[in-house]
Amino acid sequence: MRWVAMALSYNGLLFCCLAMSKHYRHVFSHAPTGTRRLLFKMTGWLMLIGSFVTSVMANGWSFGPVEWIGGLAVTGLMLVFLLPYAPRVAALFGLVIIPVQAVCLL
Amino acid sequence: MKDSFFQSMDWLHTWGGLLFGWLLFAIFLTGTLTVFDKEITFWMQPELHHLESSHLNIEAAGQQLTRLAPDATQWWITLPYARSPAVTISWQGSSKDKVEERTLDPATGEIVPVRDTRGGDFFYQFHYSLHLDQVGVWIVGASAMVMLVALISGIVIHHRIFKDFFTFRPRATSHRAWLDAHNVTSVLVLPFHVVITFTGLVIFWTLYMPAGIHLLYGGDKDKAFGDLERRIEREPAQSPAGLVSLSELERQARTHWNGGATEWMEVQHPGDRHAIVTVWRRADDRLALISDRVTFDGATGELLQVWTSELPAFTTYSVMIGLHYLWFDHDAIRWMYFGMGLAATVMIATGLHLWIIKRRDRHAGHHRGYQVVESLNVAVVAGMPVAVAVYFWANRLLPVALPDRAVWEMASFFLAWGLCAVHGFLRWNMRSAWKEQLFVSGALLGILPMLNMITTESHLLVTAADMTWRLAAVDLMCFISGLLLAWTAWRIRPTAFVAQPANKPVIAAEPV
Repeated sequence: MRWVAMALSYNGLLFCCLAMSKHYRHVFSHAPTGTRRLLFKMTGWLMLIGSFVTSVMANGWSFGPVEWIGGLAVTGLMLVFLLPYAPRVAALFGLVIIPVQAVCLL
Repeated sequence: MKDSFFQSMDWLHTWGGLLFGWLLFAIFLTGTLTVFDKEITFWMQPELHHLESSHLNIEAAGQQLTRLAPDATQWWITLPYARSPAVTISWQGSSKDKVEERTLDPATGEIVPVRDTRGGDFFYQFHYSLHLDQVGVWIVGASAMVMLVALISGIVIHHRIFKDFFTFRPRATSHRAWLDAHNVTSVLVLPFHVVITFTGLVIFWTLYMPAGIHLLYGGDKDKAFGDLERRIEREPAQSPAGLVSLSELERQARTHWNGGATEWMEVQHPGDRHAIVTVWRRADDRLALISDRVTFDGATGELLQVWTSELPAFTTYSVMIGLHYLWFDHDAIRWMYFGMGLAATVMIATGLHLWIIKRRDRHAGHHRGYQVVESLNVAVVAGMPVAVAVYFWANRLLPVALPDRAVWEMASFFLAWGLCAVHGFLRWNMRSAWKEQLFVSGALLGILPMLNMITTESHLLVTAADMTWRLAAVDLMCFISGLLLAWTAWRIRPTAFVAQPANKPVIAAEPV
């Protein structure tokens, strides 16, 4: 469950990041449409809320929020350092860990 | 006066950041190492590496104390746990200043001769007091307050905080790349920076905000804490009596807690009719750093007090300091704090470097002041990792029987750091200074696992094979840090020209 929270943090941040034109263009080499940006933003925020919920489920109300904030910092830094050097890898990594999340949930 | 609020905040951030940046880097680096202080201490005591804390024989510890310190005024027994598998007994004689300590095998109670070392506690004490006692605590407190000012002013002057949330352009111009790195390690980790700085100040509230105690208790701190903690103390009766079985009292104490383990025990006036035995619970399953305790009469075994915190303000305070002390058992959060602490050191280091870069672009040649700043940057940012590496090397290389060995280990740290400072100030070519010191720390840390192989039997190959990860992790982290530092050194381009000596007057374009 903890790894689900971390994966959701990473993906949530990734989607919020890609909702910005300059980062979207960096990864996909074309500009995003308005709808796509809105969709990415909403998905991103939903995933971030999901990561909070799963973190509390995994750790309780005492440690859950602490681990959530730590997880955001750690996955955020990971994302930000991957983006300029390997933007496709940063995006694909997010995609790859979705099945991992699904498996963990089962 | 600056023209605008923004300019004032910019000035505040720049100068507060620079003048306290060196101290703050040292505080954050040692703080980050303190996250794993118990693991570092254990790593630095190879004589204890074979111990397992699975069987605990408190009676044997009590017997050792009876044998070694029958006339002591106080006994303490620290129980083992995952992070620290040995039992420590200590006692205080009638003269209040001398506390003696022995390390015991938890199962047999035999004394284990262990090399004299401060271990991770060296970093802990450096972190909150710079090894300068009360004066040091004040300096660290001042630095923490400037850190809060720097954080808030930094947020104010960061116009594009949301637009640039994920922006990191390492291949852009030097100034932009370093600024991005500074921003990213600040903003993404901001909750940690604010919480750790604030809670750090809260720990020493009696020092920094004593007004309440002055008002309510006339400045009598002991009375204030007496009311708060309601410890049971009494004078010795000066008539001997037997001491009830310590392991029995410890077992009884645990029945008053909802599960939970014992952290340590204290015996006041052992062997006296007025002996008191207190058992303290390990606060490892909650955020609040509150040690519940149970107190017994030492001669009769009668239950005297079951104490836990009920006062809301004290509990709030305990949660705040708990978030700083990280006493709880949660490895994931512990590693996150380690990573976020390192991010903080990167934030401070990039900030210090930015100060130099911004002015180097603007002025040809070197202003004497800039030379001082950059030498200090090298001495602190590149020098401290060298000092840390030397501390670990000293632990493995200094003879075990050396008198005052722990002091020599600490002296090695400061000597190495001093040499780095001298090197940073004597070297005209700053790029070479950075390169050389980063390479030295990289090499020393990278080779440490191999040194470990030569000097102990609990090196990486052994600990990885039998999965003692708490020991293996120290070797691995040193190795990885060493690689990173050496790679950074390798990446620094040797400069095309040597810096001019600072005897050319430079007319500043505008007042800084």
